Amino acid sequence: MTLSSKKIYWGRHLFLMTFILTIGIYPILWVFSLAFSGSQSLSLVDLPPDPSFFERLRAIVPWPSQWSLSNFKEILDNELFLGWIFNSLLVASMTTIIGVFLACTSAYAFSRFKFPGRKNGMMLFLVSQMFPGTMMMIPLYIIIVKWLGLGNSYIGLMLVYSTTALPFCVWMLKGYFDTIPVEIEESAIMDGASPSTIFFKIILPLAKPAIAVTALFSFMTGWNEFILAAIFMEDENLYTAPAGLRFFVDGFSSKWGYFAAGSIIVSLPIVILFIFLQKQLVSGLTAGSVKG
Amino acid sequence: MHEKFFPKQLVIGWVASTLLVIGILFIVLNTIENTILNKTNLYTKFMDARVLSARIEAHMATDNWEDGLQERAISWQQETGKINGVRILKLSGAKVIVSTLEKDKERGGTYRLERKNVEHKRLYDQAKLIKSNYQSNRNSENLSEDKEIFFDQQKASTWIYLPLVNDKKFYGVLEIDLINSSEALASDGVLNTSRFYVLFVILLSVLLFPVFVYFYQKKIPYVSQRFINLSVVFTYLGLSIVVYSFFSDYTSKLYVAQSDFLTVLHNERAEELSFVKESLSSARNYIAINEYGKYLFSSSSIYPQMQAIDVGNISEKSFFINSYIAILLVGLGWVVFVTCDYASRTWQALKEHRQAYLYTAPAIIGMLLLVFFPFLYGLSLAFTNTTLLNESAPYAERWIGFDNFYAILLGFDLFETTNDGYNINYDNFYWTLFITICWTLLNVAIGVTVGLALALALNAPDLRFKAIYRVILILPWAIPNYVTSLVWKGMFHQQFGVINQIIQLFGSEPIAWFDSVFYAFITGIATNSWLSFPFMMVVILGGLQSIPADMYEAAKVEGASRWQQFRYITLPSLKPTLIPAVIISIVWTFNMFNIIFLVSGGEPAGANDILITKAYREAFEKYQYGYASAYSFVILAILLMYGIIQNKVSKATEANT
Repeated sequence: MTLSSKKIYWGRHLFLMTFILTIGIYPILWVFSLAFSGSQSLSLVDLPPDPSFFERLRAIVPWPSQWSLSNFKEILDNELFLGWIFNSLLVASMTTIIGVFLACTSAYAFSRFKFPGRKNGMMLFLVSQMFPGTMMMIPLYIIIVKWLGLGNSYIGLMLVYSTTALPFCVWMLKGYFDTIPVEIEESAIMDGASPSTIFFKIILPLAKPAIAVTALFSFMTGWNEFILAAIFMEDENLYTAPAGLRFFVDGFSSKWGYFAAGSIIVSLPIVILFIFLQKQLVSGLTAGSVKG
Repeated sequence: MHEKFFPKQLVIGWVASTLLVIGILFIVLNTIENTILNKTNLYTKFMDARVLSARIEAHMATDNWEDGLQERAISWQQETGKINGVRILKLSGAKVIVSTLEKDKERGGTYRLERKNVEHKRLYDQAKLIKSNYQSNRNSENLSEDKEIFFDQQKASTWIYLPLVNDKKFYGVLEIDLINSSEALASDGVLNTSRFYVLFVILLSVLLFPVFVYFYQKKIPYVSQRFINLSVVFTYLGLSIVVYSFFSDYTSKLYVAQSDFLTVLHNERAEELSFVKESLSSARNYIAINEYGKYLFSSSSIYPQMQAIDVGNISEKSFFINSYIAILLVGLGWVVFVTCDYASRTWQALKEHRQAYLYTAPAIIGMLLLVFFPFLYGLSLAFTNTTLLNESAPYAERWIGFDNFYAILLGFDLFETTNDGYNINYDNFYWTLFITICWTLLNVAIGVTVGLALALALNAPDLRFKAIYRVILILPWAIPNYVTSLVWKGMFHQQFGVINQIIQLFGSEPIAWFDSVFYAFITGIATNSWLSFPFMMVVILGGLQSIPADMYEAAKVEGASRWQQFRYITLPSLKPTLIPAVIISIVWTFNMFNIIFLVSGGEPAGANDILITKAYREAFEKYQYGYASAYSFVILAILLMYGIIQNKVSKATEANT
């Protein structure tokens, strides 16, 4: 290793470390220290009226003045919050089940069968991705809440979320099914397998990685959405976690400790899943955009 | 595929479309006639009612007028012969002093209104409304009767509510229940010939369909398909014009008939009313009856369903409507014809590819019901003035055409004058568009720059802890963005927020982040940049890793500097991965609702709203559903335009390289 390339090597480390510590994970550390501080305040330490430089410096270091698990304990004792988590889990998993099932069948057809309307069908999914969110909100609100009366029910949310996630899932899965060689199915047909056997016993098991990504995406759609949930649900008990968490820190209450603890509980599973599956997610996203 | 010139389904389509067009035409013509008849009748009723109220007011000018009023009312009623009953409400004391209504017989004509009686309460509220309108009209000095007279048209009879005035003071309300009678318009013969022409021409245009089909299928040699297409379009246009002219001829004859009828009516009633008026000395100054007529027919305020049709003077608006109807009719025939053909083919395809459709059906049906139907419904809302309050009103009443779009796109009131100079109107569409464009470009630029820098730093095969760095740097993307937004909102808190602590650390004053347009904009940019750089980083990293290492080695041999390597190898090789990523992130950022909504909330005063949050605010904070829908469709149009330009540009660049 020459001197200059050694410099560059350490330069890389220096740059990455600085970036991560100052910007990259600072907000995350800050949330963690709020959550473990045991208080509801936004500031990590109480500053005296005329603080010195070091006291100010201490105030921005993301390290709580005392460690406590009380925020977590209290929020997990809070029935409202547990209810929100339950609602979110229910809505998001139903969204996943409905979304993935619909996406698998239609993506398979789009990938394997040649039929009139195939191209238009794919375009139909793609075009819907262009629609701005608020454009759908008004008609959906009127249709789901005012006409169908599904305002305070999980069903409305599940249906809307699964169709929101559907286009991405279909494109993603279709792309994956395309890579599975047709010869496998042909030989299965030779062995006398029925079309449904081929689909359920051969294709679906082969497509497991792609299905996992699709499932994660559907789940995230349901788990992270808050605005429709807030519009559809009038009853506080029926809020999903995102819609509920907002109310810890809106204008009237500022329970930052609860908010921080709650966000960690809500985000952690999704973050872990995301990190495991992000490579496939990226390839799916960019593949769709290139074709569009 | 088509051996026969006219396969079965084409014939069916042709018959179906012909029948449909004729049916619709009949309905349209009848509706037009009925509306005109209806308006004429209403006008007649209005005249009758006004004559009666003039009589009563004339009577009120005499002494001891309340004595024996009931008997007089009955005699008036019998005189006109078109009235089911009248009721006079004296507003002070909420007392009915005269009633010849059937339902009030047992009460004997005079009684107090009861608070709990729904019908009584309605009458009282109506009277209060008329009083306040009456008074505001008198105060405004121009002698209009705007909103003083109310119509309530029902199946059996029409109710009219008019103010009663005694010595220039508001006395009460006269309620008249008029018998619904329809008087036919004269000159039916003229109408019938005209109607026949319209039918004939439309029938002719429908009959021509098979001729075109014949040409289509025969594929005449030496005549290009494009020529046939063009001739079809021109024939279609020509026919529309012919149909249009017949149609407008027909309707103009209708209006002339109406006008003749009303002129006769005017003269009759004017005599009657002037007779009554002579006996009035101190009563209010009436607008001449002819003026009334004009007023009633030129203002939609008395009776909302009334359109602007001037008596004897056909307005331009109705001409346009007629031409639309005519063109639509001919067009509809074609559509049905084509649809029938298409439907039969679809049915064929459905039978052939049963399995494929079975697999796709659930997803497609879901999309149609929950995405495309709401989409169309939203589109239909965009042409209405729907709000929270009039949502259940019939669609036709809410219809306002393109007014929402005009208000959005032609609202150039970007600046408003105040006492201390000019202010920017933050609710203006173009301001919001400007903010949105700044927001999108800045965010994407920052995202790409930061992502590129990080990816370059990470892209070294021998870098230790590479995986750890990568995972940590991806975290902002993995965290739900509503959490991120709220966290950053907390960090920007004026008193306790970390960012202001850092600013104070360097001795500056804390900043009120959400009070100024510029600073509030910065908060959004900071938040969005933080959560969008990982995507760019990951994509670019993927691109970097696909660049073959021997290219760099060759460059090194040639003596290229690091900058030259970056400029001539790395950047060009990144292009195919970077461009789609930039395209998609432009659309994402343009539509990034959560950040703006949660971090700055569009503060101050909506100045920082991007288009999509503005649309939300119109819909769910101001409850202007119609306007907000139109706003959303403008956003969609912008996105589509962007998509088309993007496509063209990328195709052009592809062709160049």
